[in-house]
Formats: sequence, structure tokens, C-alpha cells
Amino acid sequence: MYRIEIVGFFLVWCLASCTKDNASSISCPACVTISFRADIIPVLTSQCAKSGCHTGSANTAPGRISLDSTIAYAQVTLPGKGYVNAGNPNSSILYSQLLSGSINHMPVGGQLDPCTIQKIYCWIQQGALDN
Amino acid sequence: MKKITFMIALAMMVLISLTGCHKVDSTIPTAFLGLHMHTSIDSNQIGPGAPGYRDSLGRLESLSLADLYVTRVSLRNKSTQQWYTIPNSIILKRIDNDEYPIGNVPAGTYDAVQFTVGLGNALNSQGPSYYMSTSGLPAADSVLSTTEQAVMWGSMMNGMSATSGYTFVNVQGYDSTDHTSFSYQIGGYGDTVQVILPGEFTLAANQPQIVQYIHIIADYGKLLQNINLSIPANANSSFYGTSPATANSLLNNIIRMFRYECSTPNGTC
Repeated sequence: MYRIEIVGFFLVWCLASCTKDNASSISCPACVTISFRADIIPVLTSQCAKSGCHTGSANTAPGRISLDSTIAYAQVTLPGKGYVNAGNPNSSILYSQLLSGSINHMPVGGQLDPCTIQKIYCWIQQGALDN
Repeated sequence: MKKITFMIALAMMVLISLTGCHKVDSTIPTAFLGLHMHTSIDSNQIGPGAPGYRDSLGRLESLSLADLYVTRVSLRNKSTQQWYTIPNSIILKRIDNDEYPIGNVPAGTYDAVQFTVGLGNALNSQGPSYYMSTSGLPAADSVLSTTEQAVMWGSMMNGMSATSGYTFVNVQGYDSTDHTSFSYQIGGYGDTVQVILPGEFTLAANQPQIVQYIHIIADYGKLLQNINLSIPANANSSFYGTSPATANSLLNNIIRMFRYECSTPNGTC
């Protein structure tokens, strides 16, 4: 009986001493093929292309690109601007500025849910296609 | 026998408890910093072939070339007020490129960014191969590349020698107000400009090398401020060639040409 208690104590200790990964604590669907038009545009439209933010014609003010649905793709893939680097989400501003704690965090005053952010990550990783 | 079995089971449990957990990284947490540096005239972003825009003085200007070297990128720790200089931070900022990943810095809260426009004497005396080996610049951005030869003294500038060092600002364009083209090559030994941009921001630690960008505007309208382009002699200038006085004015304007994209690094705009 005494031995069972000791074994039980170690079992509890084993389980309690391990930390849980942040990434694994959130359960998002696996990275299937992401469509820019079906999956990404709705996010940009609802979260970014708001009055006073990323909307209107192709803005010429630095950093104020328009994310309206008709021109969003052309804007985020402007060469040399770094908003989207196809295949490399970690160096893409469209992804990195969505992360909690990032400089100039977007969207202003809000935080996208982790699965939406993952969707954007996957789209960029899959080559940032205009699909 | 039972005692041995029990001891083995106990040892296994201890082993599992020690090996089954993730190792805590004891190294200093770091963040990967980059500069997102826009080329602009006043509040308008520009690029090659972009239409002319008015600067803050109302002059209509366009740029065809706007290269400059940024080196010694440093961050001031808010609590210690110590500067951390990112090793080998050498950027050749070009008109058509805004993104410049630089390197790892200690995670933390900072209250200023500082950088040098120019290379400094030590870097100036190095050959192009030095940049290839230390700056991490891709080949297309190297001073060895054909497209960047114009940045280098000695190769393109009449009367210059290779030992004159590198030009660190090379800007060319057209002023529609005075109907004149302008071309400036500023640089050489002993001439660098320190730029300090105060503003608080926090770099969160991240391991997967997610680039955290500080957004900065390089305003060429400010660079050309107080340069009277209605005087033809002012339209072309270099430190070692024509109109060194104009070159000096441009040098003094460099410190004014940089600002954060928003009011602060973390601010909304």
C-alpha cells in the first residue's frame, strides 16, 4: 500500500513537472490549401480595409497600402516591400505584425484569433498564390 | 525480488520525469530585428518611375535613384540607457526596396534607434569583398554588383580614386518646379551622419526568427530642403567634385530626413 502511494506520487510529479507548449495549446485545423480569395480576402476586408486604415485607392503614403479586395493582392505582393515574401511567412510583415507583442501590432486595438493568423501563415508558406 | 522490481520502476519514473520535459533555454532571449525603410517625398511613397510629388516646400520632385548606406544600427535599452549595436549591420538602402532584416538583438524594451548614414573610415578602407563576407547582403545588393557600381567612388566618378572610399548617398532625379535634373553623390572619408530617433518599443523574444520590423521613412524631400535648384551649379554636386557647398548642405539635411512611419515606433498612424 505504501509503495502504491510512492508510485502515485511520482506519477503526479512526472505529469506536473512538464510544461505545455503554447502552440499545442491551441487546436487549429491542419494547414490545408489556403485560397487567397476565399480565406484571406475576407479577413483583410473585415479586419484591415476599414475607414482610416487600409482602404481606398492604392495609397501612396508609406505603409498605408490598400487592402480592398480588388487590389489587396497586388498591394501585399509589391516587390521589395516585404509585406509578403512568398514561402517565408516569418519575414513577411503581413504575418509578423499580427503576432501578439509585435511592433506596430495589427489590427490596431485588436488581436486576430490564432487560427486566422495560422491561415495567413499557411497561405504565405504555400507560396502566397493569387488563388 | 519485489523490492528490486519496485526500485527499477521507481528509477524509470525518475528517468521519464527528467527526460520527458522540454529543456528550458538558458540563453538570453533574442528577437530578430529588421528595418522597414520607406523611400518618400514628404508623405508620398515613391519608387523608380513614380510620378513627381511635392515636398514640404511645395517643389515638385521625382527620383530615379536614391541609394544610401546605413550602418551601425543601434538600440538604446530603456532601463540601462546602454546602446546595443547590432554586429555587422550594413544596409544599402535602395529606392525600390524597403525591407532590411538585420539580425538578432536581446529582447527587451528600448527607447531609441540610432544608425549611421555612411560607412566610416574603417569600413571605407575595406574592399568590396569585405562587404560580401560580413554584411550578409545578397549579391544583388553588394557593391560588387553592376547595378550598385554607381555607389562606389572610383569606378564611375571622374577624377575619383578607389582610395576615396564609397559614396554613401547617391540621389538623382528631376525637379519639375525648376525644370532641372539633379544628381548628388555625397560621401567619402570622414563624413558620416549619426541619426537618432527617440521612441519606445518592445522587442518580444522569439525563437523561430520572426522578423520584427521598425518602420522608418527616408524623406528625400527633406534631403533636398534649402537646395536652390534654380541655380544650375547647385544641381550637380559631390564632395570631391562640383559644388562642395551644396554637398555640405545635403550632408546637414540627412539628419532631418528620417522619421518613424507613425509618431512613435509603436504608435498608430
